[in-house]
Amino acid sequence: MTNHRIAVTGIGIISAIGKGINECWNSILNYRSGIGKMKYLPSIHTNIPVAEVDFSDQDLRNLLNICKSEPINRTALLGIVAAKEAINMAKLDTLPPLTAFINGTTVGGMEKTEQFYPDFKNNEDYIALHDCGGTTDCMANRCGNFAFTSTISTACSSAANAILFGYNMLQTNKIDCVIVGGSECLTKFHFNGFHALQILSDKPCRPFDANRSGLTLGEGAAFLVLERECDAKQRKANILCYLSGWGNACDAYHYTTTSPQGHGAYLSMQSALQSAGLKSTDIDYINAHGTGTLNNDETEGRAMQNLFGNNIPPFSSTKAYTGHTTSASGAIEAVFSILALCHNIIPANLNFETSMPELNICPQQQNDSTKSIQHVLCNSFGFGGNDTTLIFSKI
Amino acid sequence: MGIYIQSAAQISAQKPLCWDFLSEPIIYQEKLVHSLMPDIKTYIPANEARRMDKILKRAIVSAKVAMETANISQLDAIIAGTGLGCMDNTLHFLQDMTRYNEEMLSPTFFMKSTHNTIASQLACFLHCHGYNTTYSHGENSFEAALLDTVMQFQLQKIHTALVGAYDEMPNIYFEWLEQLRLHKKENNIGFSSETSVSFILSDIQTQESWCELKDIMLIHNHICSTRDIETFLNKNKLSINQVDTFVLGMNKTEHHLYKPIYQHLENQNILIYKHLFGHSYTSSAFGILIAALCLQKQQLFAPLIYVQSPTYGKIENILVLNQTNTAYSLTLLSLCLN
Repeated sequence: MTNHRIAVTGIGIISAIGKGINECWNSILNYRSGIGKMKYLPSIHTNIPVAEVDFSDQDLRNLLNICKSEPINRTALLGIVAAKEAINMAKLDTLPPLTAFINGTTVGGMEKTEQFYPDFKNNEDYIALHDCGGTTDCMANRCGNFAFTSTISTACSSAANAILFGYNMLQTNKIDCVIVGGSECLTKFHFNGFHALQILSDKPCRPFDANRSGLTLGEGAAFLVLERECDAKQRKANILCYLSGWGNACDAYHYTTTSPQGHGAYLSMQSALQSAGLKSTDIDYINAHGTGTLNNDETEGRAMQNLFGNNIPPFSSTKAYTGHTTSASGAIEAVFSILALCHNIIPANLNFETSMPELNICPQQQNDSTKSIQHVLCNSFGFGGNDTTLIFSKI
Repeated sequence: MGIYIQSAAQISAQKPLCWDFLSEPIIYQEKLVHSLMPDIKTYIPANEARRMDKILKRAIVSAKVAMETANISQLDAIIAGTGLGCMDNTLHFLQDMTRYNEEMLSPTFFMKSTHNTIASQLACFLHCHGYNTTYSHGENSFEAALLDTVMQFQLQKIHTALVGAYDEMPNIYFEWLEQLRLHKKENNIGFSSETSVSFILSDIQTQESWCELKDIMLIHNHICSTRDIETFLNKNKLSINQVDTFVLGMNKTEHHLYKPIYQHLENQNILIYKHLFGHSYTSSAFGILIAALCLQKQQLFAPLIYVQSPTYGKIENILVLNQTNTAYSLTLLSLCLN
């Protein structure tokens, strides 16, 4: 089988730090976090900060010209905004006949299910949207004609796994173009789940800091357009960068905690390097999973130390900007990795003050535009130890 | 390179972990049938089983039995398809959250509610650190998992895989679906059920291989026509006349979605399975299962036969069609060449 180079020709995003690539990247350049007081999520735990997309459902409907009577949920609304931006950037006025739409989500239609529960039975329109696939198809049908749609649900690595699935579909010539990413809105369901697990911080999250006290939940969506390099060149598309490899491994340790050495994380990063044909020294920036929980940051740090030794490349978690956007995080952070690569800027890890005593690592504290970036490694880890790593490379 | 089904195991509305349904199927009149449980303690130590939910027990037991049958102890990948994931726990957490107004919640139901709980816990139980992922896309969840598995083999990332279909049907969710069917005026879907089917795949053909998995295709927003089938078969250097048997995902009542296909089939056997296994998001896995069994045993079994061809002889190529309102899938299975 031919080994194709897989080009990224479009990206789109909506998150707590803005709608669209420009707004989000400007927020990062200006150290503006999207974490704040709860505004839209109807939860009683208003003392806990969140990173919400600052648009009501009605605002999003207006933006997309979707009338009030049409059944749709917030996950789908966010996803459509991001996917359309990606498709526009790729200048795909008409999608190739064999185009796929692959979404990562876990929440699916839960936002509406919990709103109507226990009287959900009488909301037929939303029953069909409850499962993840229903929500994905609802998004896809509003973004174009797709020959293939699918949904991956591996918790917080869902979008990253959706991206590698799209990559593999292109490599094996199953399709000619793919819109891949993830979308997840905040719901009381998973907010309360994380709260019950006692891993939500009552202050904005502080990834990799010794005094971190948990994660901050966020919401959003991001999508990428991927094509084989030969096809992208033939239609004279603007190639932003390449998805040069992926790794996927299972920590196989516990439902929610990671193994002490971050074995799954290590294997995932290692196999991504192997798949991209790169050495650890080739990586110029790591966009870490870095949730801000005691468990994740220590074990991810340990896995990076084990893999990179004393030469850990500059790394940061962008979750202090966007919050942890759970199933969408793999795509949102892939977009930041791509922007870092395109602009040669390493984004800062906000809210960091003190290094973890048990490790010898320190994240990037200021935006750095002095280095040339050739390869970026992006981590996404999910509950159950579903660990995924993507590597993006410059032209 | 070929991809071979080395074994499979099922836990369903039919007698679990065996093929009794091929001769003496259980016939149901109910509208909802929960899976029949095998003797769990034979397969999972009691102290571990106590903490597991039924859907997980069924997944682990079917996986373990399939692995033992295939004589495989190490897997390179675990790939799951599930329409709803751990829906029972999801509903429990939702109920508690509503009842107790977001206070004093135990995290247990939540942490065991995600769709990937099944594949990741299979990895824990089987000590498998390899490729692990979960597809949740309505009635095409399993085919997406199977397609991914095929690609992993084609890209030579793996040499063995567990690919499974796992779904449960809590009473509350069943009521929601019934309401939805009523609303859409859908009839004749037979009974709702639960699925646990585990397959072991390998890229090495052995004496034990049941059949070869030749190809799989999944197309969105389209009703499959005979022309689509011909295109798919041509890609695999076959014509429609070389396919001796079709497996269709319809009930005994003729289903309008399949009419464009079965009305054109004259010389082929047609097999069906949903009247035995019921309907769940991942029941299409039973279609692959019965096709693989017929190829392995070189026999068509009476309870599965919808139409029997007068010229029925050797079973060589079986095409499995799963047509839903939103997509269709075609899976081609062939007799192993010695």
